[in-house]
Amino acid sequence: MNGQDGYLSAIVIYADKRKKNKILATFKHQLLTDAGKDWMHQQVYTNTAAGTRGAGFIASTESSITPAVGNTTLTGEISTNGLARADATTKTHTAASNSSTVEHTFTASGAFTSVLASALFNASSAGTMPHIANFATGSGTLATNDTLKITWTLNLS
Amino acid sequence: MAMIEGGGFRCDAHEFKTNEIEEWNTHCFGNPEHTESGSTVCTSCGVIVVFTGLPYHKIDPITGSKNISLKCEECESRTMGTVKRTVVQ
Repeated sequence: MNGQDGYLSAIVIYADKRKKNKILATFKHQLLTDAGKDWMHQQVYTNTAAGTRGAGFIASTESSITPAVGNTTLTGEISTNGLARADATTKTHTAASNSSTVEHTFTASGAFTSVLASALFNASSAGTMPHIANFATGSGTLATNDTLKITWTLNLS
Repeated sequence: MAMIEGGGFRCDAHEFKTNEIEEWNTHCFGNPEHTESGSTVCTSCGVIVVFTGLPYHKIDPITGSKNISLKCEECESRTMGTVKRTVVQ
């Protein structure tokens, strides 16, 4: 492995069809955390027992954060109203390539002021957080039945 | 063309590398070496569907999504059964 890049994309689709969909991020480059790097090396090279499952859980936050490689948790992680950390519904790797995709569509079951950032985890709670990133722009107000589709593209080579 | 920064997409099998989504899609689409493997949920009943050898699905250059939409074997066969019955009637 001589490089690892993660990209975050996200779009809001409003239940009110009169409102235009809002793109929050398109292939926004972001951080591989130190904890994530350690975890990857352990999973792939140094573990002497079975490792953990993949980092296919997507979380998000309304907190204003500055992603840093030392981050191990997502500050203000949302835990209610449909936007709590979720096991991504689709995870796929393209054979003979350096690319995988992890994506999930969240449906709000309550109101949110503005979702600002996302992260990947390897467990449904706690766990290691290998990737973290801000959206390019906040979601703004979300209402019940609005959907937020978050897609992570993970490239390594 | 939608460009990404950083390491971009890479295929060592064909010594191909690009930072453009559309170019990557064009390279992989229809290429039998670039199949998809992973999991998703059945669009009908919601059970987890594990797949391998699925033809390459293009990445949406705006949302990043692969938009993989599959049914589990049971729902698929039920759908087929409905179609057959419709034809017979």
